[in-house]
Amino acid sequence: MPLPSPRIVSAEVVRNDPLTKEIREIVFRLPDDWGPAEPGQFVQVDCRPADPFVLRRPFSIARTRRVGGEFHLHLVFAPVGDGTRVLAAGRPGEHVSIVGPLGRGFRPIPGRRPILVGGGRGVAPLLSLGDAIRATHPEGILLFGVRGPDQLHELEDPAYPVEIATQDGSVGFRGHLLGLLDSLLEAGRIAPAHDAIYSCGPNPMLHALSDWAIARGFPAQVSLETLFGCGFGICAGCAVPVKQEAGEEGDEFGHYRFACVDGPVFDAERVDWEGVRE
Amino acid sequence: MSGELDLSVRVGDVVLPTPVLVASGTFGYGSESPELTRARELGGIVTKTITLEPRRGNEPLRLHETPAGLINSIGLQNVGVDRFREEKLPKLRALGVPIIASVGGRKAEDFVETVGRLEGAGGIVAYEINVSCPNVKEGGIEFCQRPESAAEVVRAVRQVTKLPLWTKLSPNVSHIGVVAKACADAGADAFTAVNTFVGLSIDVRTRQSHIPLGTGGVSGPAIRPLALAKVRETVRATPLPVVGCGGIASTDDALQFLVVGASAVQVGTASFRVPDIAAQIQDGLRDFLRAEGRTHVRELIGSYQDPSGPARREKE
Repeated sequence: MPLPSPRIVSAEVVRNDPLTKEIREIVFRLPDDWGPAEPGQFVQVDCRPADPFVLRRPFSIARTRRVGGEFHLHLVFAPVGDGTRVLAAGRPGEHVSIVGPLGRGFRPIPGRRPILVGGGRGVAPLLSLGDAIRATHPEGILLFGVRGPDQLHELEDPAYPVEIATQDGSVGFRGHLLGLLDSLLEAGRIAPAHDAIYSCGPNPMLHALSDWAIARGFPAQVSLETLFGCGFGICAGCAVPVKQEAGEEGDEFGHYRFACVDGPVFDAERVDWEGVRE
Repeated sequence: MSGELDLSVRVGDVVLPTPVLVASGTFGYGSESPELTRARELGGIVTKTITLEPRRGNEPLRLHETPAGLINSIGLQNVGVDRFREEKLPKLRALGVPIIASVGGRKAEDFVETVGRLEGAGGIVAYEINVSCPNVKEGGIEFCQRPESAAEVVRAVRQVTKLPLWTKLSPNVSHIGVVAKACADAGADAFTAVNTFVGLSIDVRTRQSHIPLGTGGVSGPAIRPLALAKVRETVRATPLPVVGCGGIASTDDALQFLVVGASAVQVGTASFRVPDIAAQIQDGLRDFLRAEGRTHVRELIGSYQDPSGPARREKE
């Protein structure tokens, strides 16, 4: 099915609340016929109506929902940069320009049980992935890794049972997500023969996860964190180095793909991590 | 009402339906998301710069945002002239908008060969000769830094095409008018002024540039007044038409370039934040004409009350 065309819309803020000390969730009301978005797609948000910003800020789509005849878009973010701090101040009733849905999302593999691996805010798009595939993939597992309580929040109606890893050990498994994956593998709860990994999080985590998955034979898809210029393929700014596949001579863009139209989700084995700035 | 308004302009022999074009390298090959960009309504599309061979472009990160500006280091990533002609041009042509093909190269012969392969392809109304890219090791900006090198490229390409040649000038020179004159003598038909300004931004923790190659090209509203002054200088240097470019993000911005004497304008970086900004600027030009009770946008071109006196260039 072809992806829906992206549009520019003026979206009304419905609510904008902290999820934890560091993480917030903002919800927008969108036109009824927006999307539908594919899990892993993103939107470009205009965080301020005037100079000095020249670029929008990209956000993975956390969830889209119908609520009493309204269509809601959920984004999860940490107000750590200039754009996200402006977004954190957005009040209900204010309007924000959003371009989307953009990009190419996750491609669930039929017949393989999904292991969703979310690092920090990266858990957000995995919730919508779970929503989209729970009918076709009734069994699955969602791993949510954070540093500690300041990043840990309730996950609303997740499609699959959730396992939490905290680096400080305050909740769930003590350690990194890879440690949790190791323990699940040792316990025989996950297996490369019938599972597939879908992940979103900081690039260093995705790099480590990709190496881990490839070494053990798990198919894996990762949603890269990238700087975008335009978000829809016209500026060539979001180049991601990829490994050449056999017989891929004459490849349109050499070793580069664009995160905005070819991604942001890539097969882990395609990404040439040596060239990715982390 | 709008039926009475005439936005059409001439750049030399080229008639454009409106004076608002989109700049090279900021609009892909033109056919990406045309609904989002309202590409079919534009005065013209300048393509990504096309080179003889495909180019993979520079290593990431390629962009860094600065106050009201953007440093880019794309490195002319493109599919090469043959695939452009076969795959990209037909889609671009289908939009029904005048196409200006931007051409780049390391030496004059590259430009000649690339233009040669585009000749007769159909749909191209002019070539923009990019002798001013700041982000390639060879054959970019240094053409403009020696006026005779830029002129040599123009002179060579002039031999292989009858289509108009717009020379895209670099602002990173002491006297842009000197470069313009040299290119005019070599057979240029118009100028696009200006390409990006060389800029640098440093991460003070790592002591490294924010982009791997060090310097890049600065675009966006930050350069607008700088670009406008360069356009004024270019307009006064030769009688040839000038297409203004640099930080245009609103109707007012576009009007400033027209008033100072540009025959048309190109919108670049602004399309990233507002994909249909060029079409919106056209809408705004119509509103401006209505408000002033004018019918032709051409009446505004060169109407600047320059304290140094009028430009000596001929008016159309």
